[in-house]
Amino acid sequence: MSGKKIVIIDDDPEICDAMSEILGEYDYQVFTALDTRSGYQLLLEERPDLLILDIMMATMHEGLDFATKIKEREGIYGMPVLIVSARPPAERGYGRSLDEDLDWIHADIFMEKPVEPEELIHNVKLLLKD
Amino acid sequence: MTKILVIDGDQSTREFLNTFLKSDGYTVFNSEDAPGCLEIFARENPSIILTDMDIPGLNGLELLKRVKGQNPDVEVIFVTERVETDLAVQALQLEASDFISKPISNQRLMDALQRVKERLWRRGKLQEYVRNLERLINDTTEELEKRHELEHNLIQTSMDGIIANDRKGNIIIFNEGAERIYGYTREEAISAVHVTQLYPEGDARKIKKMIYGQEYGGPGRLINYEVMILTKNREPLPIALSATLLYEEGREVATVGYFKDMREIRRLEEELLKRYQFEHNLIQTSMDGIIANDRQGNIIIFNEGAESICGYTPDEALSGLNVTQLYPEGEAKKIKKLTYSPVYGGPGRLINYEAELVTKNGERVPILLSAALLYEEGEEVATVGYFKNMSEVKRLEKELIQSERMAAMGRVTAGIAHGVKNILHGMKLGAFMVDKGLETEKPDMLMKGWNLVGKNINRISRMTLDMLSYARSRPPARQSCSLNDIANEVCNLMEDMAGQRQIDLVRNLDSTLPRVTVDPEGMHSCLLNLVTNAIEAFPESMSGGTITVSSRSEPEAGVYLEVKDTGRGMTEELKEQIFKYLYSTKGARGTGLGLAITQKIVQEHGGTVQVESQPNKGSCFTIILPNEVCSP
Repeated sequence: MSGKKIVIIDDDPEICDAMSEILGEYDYQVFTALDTRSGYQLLLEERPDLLILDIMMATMHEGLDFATKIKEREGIYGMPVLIVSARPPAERGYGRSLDEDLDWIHADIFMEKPVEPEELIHNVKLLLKD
Repeated sequence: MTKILVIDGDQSTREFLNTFLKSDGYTVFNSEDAPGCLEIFARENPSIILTDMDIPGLNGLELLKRVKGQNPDVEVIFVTERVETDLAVQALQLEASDFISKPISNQRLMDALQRVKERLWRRGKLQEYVRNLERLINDTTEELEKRHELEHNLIQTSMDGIIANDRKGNIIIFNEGAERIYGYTREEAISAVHVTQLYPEGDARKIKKMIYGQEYGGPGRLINYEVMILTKNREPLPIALSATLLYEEGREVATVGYFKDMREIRRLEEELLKRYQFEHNLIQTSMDGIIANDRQGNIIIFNEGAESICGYTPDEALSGLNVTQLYPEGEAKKIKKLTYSPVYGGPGRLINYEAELVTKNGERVPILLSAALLYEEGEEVATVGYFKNMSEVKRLEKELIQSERMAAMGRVTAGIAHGVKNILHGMKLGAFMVDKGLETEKPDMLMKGWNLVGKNINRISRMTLDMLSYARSRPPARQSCSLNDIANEVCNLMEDMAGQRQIDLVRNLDSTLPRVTVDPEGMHSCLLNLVTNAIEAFPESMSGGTITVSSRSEPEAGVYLEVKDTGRGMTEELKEQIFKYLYSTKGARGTGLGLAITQKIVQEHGGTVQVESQPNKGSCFTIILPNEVCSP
């Protein structure tokens, strides 16, 4: 029982539910938010160990901008960010290779939907060094 | 009244004469000695003097000299004791008028006075006559002078040059105009220049010949003959010369030349020519085709652009090609008609009309044609047409459509892929939960997982149906119905969902709304989409809010269906995107088709969908259907 805190920001409440259910199985404390504003509030309140972010939120760059902002603010304590997106890496916004883009999209791991749950769990564990 | 001065030393004589003369109507002045008489004479200037030969202080002859010196016309009659012959001769030489001896005989005095008066009268008349004559001469002279001055001024100040020369070629008139043109002063010209020096060598003689000849205005005249002159600086300069011979008593005495400086005119002519050439070049080298034809259809202008588009050389076109041959049969006539009609750019003009040309090889070329009628003095003389070759544009248009199609397909594919990925994501998570639930014997987890799988199956089927309904191009199945009924149905359907989110769904329907002939199913989907969007426009975190569904009719504009929310609203940037096919702000939950479908259906009814929105204030979507949809 690690009890580590994970915040999930995704605008789909069902995905949020499923993710917290699944990650709960692995003894993580999961907090969810449906938009970046309330998500940011959550980050301040909970100071989680990991952020899982869907970058295709309501507006085009909401997720990416948010990730950048978080990384700048929270970099001090080095909270890792895992980005989940339905957009392929070749799409607008991150046109170069994924490795390069990761520098500026400020994610530690970038996963493309549909995500294999086993892989997601693996990455979460990796980032949390469990 | 005639003034008379009586001078006599003897008082009784003065008194006698005084009385006598006054009774005869004279104004009489008396004096007894020389100083008095001269003073009176100077003051009164009498016409007649009656004087003794010996007056105190002055000899009679001396008096006579003096007064005659002052007024030669004064009549002096001597009244004397004795008439000495010598004295009389001297006095008469000094123009004394008469001698009367004392004692004075009345008769003698009257006769003398009568003669004197007659002389005075004659002299007066003569003087008057002379004065009149002088005045007459003065007046005439003045007039002549004025006339002369006028003519002189006319000649001198004329803008034209005026030069006259005598038969020997000496210059006798050289006006200011001539000074300006030639550069000689008048004095120089008159004193030192010969007429032949005014022209290049030999030309003066030629001009003289022409003046005598018939050709230029008749013998003795030359009219507007263009010739070169030589200025003082020996510079050649063009003038237009008119000349005429002057005669006196039938003899030729002089030649007068009037001339204009032609430099300005030449300059203007050159400018005009340049302008003409410039415009000509402009026309000729224009990339556009330019063709002008007269009323019979004969081609009169055919530029390089026209050559490259039509394939005819200008020579071919200008020698007998009729404008009708450049168009497919009947097209020329149609274009002519359209040019006269006000449809394309007003009568007498045709603007951007798409037509076809037939080239020399018989190929058809699409063109964009503008034409105008040309008038001269109110009469139509020609038609000029400007046209662009549209082949390339048409080809590019086709390519563009093709590539747009490809791009659209790409966008569609990407959009579908995005939607499908989100759905698959949910399914995978769901399936994982089912597995986990089975594995760990947690029915709750299993149920949640299965539920998620089921929901995502619904999503993918809804998306498929939406896509089909967007792609389907059946005409709307119209029937007479009430938009208020449709609005009520939709509100009934959505009330629960709105209620769950604590949103008030308010109906504000106009009961006088006319019935309409529309596709009720289509309208239902439209309104359902808008209301669903409105509900989703409220952030999940927010509770409360209002959605107003209203209908109204505006006599001019048409029938309005409006869905207004107090939700999060949209930025301008977002507003521009929302009607795009497969654009969604709802992440995994939206198909990106709702508004696209709504718009498509409304457009099929000839209507429009309008949006007004402000971030954090809300949005208002309005379906506007034209009055034509109203049932009769």
